[in-house]
Amino acid sequence: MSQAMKSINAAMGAKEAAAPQVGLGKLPFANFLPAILPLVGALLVLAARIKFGPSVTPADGTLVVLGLLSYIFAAAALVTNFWAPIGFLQRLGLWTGSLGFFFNLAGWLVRWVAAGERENWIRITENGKTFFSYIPYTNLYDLSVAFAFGAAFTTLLISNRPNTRFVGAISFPLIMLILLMAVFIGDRFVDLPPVLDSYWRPIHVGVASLSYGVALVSFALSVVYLIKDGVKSEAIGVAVTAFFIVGYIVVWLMGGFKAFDPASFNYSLNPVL
Amino acid sequence: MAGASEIVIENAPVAPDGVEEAKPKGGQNRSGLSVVIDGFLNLLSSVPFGIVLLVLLIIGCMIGMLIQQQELESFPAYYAELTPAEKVVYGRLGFFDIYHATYFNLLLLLLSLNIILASIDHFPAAWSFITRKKLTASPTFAMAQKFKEKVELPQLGHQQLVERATAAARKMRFKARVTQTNDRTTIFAERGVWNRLGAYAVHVGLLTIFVGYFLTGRGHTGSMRIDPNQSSDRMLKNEFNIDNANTEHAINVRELELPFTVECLDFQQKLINKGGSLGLGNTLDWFTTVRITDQETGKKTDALIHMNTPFDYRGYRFFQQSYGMPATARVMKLRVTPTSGGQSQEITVPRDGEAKLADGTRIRLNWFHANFSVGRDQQVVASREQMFTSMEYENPAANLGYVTPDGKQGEVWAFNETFANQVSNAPFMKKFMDNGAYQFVLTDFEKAPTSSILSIQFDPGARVVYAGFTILCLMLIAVFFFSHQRLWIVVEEGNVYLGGDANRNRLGFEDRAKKVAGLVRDPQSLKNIGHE
Ligand code: HEM
Repeated sequence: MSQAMKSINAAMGAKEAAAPQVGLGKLPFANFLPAILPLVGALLVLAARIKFGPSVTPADGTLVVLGLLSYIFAAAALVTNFWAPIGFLQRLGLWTGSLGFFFNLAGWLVRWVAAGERENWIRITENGKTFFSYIPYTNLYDLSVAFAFGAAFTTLLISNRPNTRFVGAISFPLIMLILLMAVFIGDRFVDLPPVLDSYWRPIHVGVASLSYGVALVSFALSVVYLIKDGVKSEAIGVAVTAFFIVGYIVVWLMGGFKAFDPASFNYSLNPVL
Repeated sequence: MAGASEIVIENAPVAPDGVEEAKPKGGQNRSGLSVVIDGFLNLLSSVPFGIVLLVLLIIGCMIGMLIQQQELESFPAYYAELTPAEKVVYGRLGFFDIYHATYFNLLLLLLSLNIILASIDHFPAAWSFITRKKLTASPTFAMAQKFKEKVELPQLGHQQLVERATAAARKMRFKARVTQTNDRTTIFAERGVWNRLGAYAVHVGLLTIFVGYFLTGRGHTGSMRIDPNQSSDRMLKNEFNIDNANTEHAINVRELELPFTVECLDFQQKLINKGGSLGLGNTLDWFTTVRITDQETGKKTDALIHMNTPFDYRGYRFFQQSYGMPATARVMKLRVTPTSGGQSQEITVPRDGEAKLADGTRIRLNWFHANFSVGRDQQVVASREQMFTSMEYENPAANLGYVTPDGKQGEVWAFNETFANQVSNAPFMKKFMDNGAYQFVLTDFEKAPTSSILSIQFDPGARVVYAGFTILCLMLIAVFFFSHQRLWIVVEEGNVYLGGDANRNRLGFEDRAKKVAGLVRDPQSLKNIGHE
């Protein structure tokens, strides 16, 4: 039995009651603090950004990069903890993950204000819309940032229980990758086409990114179960590869045989939509 | 839903003797025809056949998604990119209008029939869960169930055990019915029997969507290009024409007559930066004000159509779809200075109206030029290409028509101030800039495209489809998040036998049944565990 399996089995068997995991004593909601504190903190940053303007808070892009750095730290600590269980690493991972969530969410919220100020809130003042017209859900960058904090929040929420705490070891590396991709896309603002200035946009993308976050954590949990049950990593690898190949072919077909075409060396995405 | 239906059969209570063996009367001497009909009906009502149809339909829908459909605005451009072979093959197979293809509709009709017939086939079994409950059981029966547990409590009396078991089942929110037979008591504990009927409600939802689809098939989608002060009672629809697949006539534009006339009263484009272009990135919204005159009743209805705010009239839905170039002005302000010197006047000219100077000269806009230039031959250069594509206003100028009080008519250009200053010294420009009596300068104007393009949908099935999806979603949740759970608790000779099963979420059921067993063993057990 590998150390990873042992760690998971030990954690799964842990009793609910035995749990000073975050090192904050016996407060009934203490285990939820890594999820709740960043929410409060990000809202404070938002308030400061609204009240005092762009000079007092870091720019949204900066906050997102700080979030990424924290996630990298958290991922490293938690993954190490998987193979070399050290209580300190576990706590460190949880709290740096929590810090990452704070920066990540604050970045997204600050971006909301920045998007509005960029247009002087003209959609509200002159076109009868609400501040939802400026919600940072306009492109893949925005979506990824939201996806990342949604997944981080879900991870931190379910980390309140000792027997699911190790999920972070899988989800934080993934969150890190998503945010890394976002940073590569770049935080330029896009001009919103009028057709997207609709109340459906926050609903459409909000529900989608929320479900992504939850799906990512479910994925992490199921991987953990596979490891726990001793499924060979080779078997998992083959399944993932098969899934990737099928997905690749589907995307290729979706592009009307033109996108991601391995034969043409032309990787322009030509989606149907 | 096939799975659910199958589960229904699998778990069906024992049918009364003879029902399962019942064969059509006269089984021995059936004619060949009736065998064929029987076989066909059996196929038609079989679940695997339904799944095959469903897969075929999904493939059809994917084709409809991957291959652009003919009514789309972008279809002509898409079509032009296809190879000649693709044009002919896709065209012959009806892929450009797959949702109206005969085979697609036939498949859907077959699937509807399949769902109805399969439901009729399976419904009696599901219904008997409700009407013919198995209220009595033997210990053997209980111990043959997927979940089984035996609790031995010889120290308690029979009646006491029955009461305890009934209370336990009720505490775990089962409906419990007690049946006494000789020295054996059966407590039939049940939850969520309605779940057996959920599948049929899901089918009702699906069929409602299909009905909506067939109604939608009788509708039309098209577009209408309309300029302010124009009227139209036609909508245009692209139609693919297979016989001309590889000629320029491959796509016909069909005109459909509407039962009303649409008059455009005004068309406005609101910009974020008023100095910027008409491009999408600089646009807040387009507003088309229309007056609809009903041809039957003569009633007039005014409406404002803008982005994401369609307008409904007699089953027709109008959307702001797009806008048509060239770039023009909705209203403009002009400074008019007498060439003989004297006080200049400011006038405002709407794009389709007139303005009057103090001396009674009437001014109107002939045409607006967003990128005015003069060629070598001293003629105004108006490149069609640029006029119909450019969203910028690099050198705006307005060509005005005038009628003086004594009836003299003519035309004159009003340039923007910068350009007017630049060229006022060029002698040949003089003839453009004044009409002898006045010089005109364009001081300000509101940018706007020439035409509004409305999309018009006549969709008699929309509401039905919405209703169908609502039913479908609600019923899917109802079916899959709940289950039919049955637990037979048999009390006999100081023993309590618990056995039962559920049609879904077996783990959840077993958890609950274990708690019932625990409560029978020790009525305080739940408190000790600390749950619920
Ligand atoms: C920033 C993010 C997104 C933007 C700006 C966006 C925008 C759009 C737009 C403009 C459409 C076409 C609407 C129309 O045809 O009227 C659309 C359709 C759609 N989107 Fe998104 N979307 C986003 C994210 C997502 C995500 C994350 C998902 C799924 C997980 C998703 C699923 C869909 C689906 C299923 C459709 C319908 C496709 C169809 O009708 O054929 N979208 N979206």
